[in-house]
Amino acid sequence: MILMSQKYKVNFTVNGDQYERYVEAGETLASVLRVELGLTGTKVGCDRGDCGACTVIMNGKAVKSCIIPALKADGAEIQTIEGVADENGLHPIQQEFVELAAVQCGYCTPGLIMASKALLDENKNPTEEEVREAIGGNICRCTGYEKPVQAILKAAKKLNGECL
Amino acid sequence: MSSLQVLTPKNNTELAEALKQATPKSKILGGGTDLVILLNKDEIEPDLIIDMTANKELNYIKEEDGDIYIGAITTITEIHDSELINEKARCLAKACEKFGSTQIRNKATIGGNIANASPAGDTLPALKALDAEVSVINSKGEARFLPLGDVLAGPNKNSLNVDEAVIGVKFSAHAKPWISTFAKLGTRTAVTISRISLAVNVVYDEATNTINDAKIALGAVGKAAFRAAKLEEELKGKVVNKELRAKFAEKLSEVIQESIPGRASLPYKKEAIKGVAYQAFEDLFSM
Repeated sequence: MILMSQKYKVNFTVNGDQYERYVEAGETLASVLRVELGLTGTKVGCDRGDCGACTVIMNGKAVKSCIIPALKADGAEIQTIEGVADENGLHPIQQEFVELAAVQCGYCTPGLIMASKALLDENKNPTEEEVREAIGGNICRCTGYEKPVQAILKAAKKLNGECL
Repeated sequence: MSSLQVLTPKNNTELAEALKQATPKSKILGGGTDLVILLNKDEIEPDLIIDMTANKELNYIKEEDGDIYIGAITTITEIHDSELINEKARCLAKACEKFGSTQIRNKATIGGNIANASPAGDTLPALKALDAEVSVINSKGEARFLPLGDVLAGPNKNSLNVDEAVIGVKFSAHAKPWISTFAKLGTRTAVTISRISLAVNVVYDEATNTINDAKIALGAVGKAAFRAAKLEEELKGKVVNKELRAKFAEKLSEVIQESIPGRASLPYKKEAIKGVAYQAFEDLFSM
């Protein structure tokens, strides 16, 4: 890293796009994503690593971007909610959230989808318990988790090519 | 914040160099799951942050000559997933399983959990019950081992010198007949900090259903994780049955009453520990 008037150069990719930015030591990844890159799909709730609304996938792992110093993103591959759908349309997790109405106020939804996507990327066939564990760090005060859990399990089946 | 400098040493030589610049205001950064919150809230204004996580020399879990070594930047997820830890230090693997949420486990490091010295740090009772020693490096590049208890100086306070950093932890491999577990209670397990945590590490003779040795540690019920030495002695030679389970729970309750007398949480914790004790017994002995 090169020091430049208390800013540090970081290179990282977000949803496949390469970025070079100069960030301050105290800046968080969530703030860089939202303010610098305009990717406001990543929500900030508690801003202290509790609520999970800011969850993104960093180097294949779900992390809470509000407590990641942007400096640590140097060299990282990051995926945010904006990168989950592709040219074919919504990702199966997103589709199932819509179909099962697993969204109420919606504030926690991007975080829930990123946390569950990180799970399904690693574990194609999770149990309900594993799904609940994976989203245990995401607080949702509307749904009671029932529909999100059903949606994630259904999306897993879809991703495995099972007819539903 | 304006004069804050960040150093990201790539190896132990660079780390020692970086530590030369450390002052009492400087901070060592692991996964950031505690430190970044303080930075965000402007509760600390460090002059220098040394980020440990670019130093990949400190990312390992290995066994050598009967001892297990874990590097400081090894994440809680990596420890939880380690076959070696699950087999020979199960209480630590269980502590990592119950540590925060998935997202936190993916970032939080064992070195950070030790150096942060939170009374509720989840790995700490497990490490205490394994008689862990902490490896520390200074600005001259000299490394030394300290018993974990000597590192934990008080709530969120470690005993290290300004120019020192935690680089790892070691403990004896506790293969069978050692069996161990970890149980905890939090208001919302995946998110909140522990209210009570308990690590139980015992030599169990299946043939006679007897406990022959015991190391018991508690967290979140005092200034730092600690061992219940008297209870350990009392468990030795005891046959595992429902009476022992009840006695174990009762004795732990007494230990807590001695540890946090007069604390507002005491009436709750002295009862709640019994449930945690039963959980630990159930996990260890299926009863």
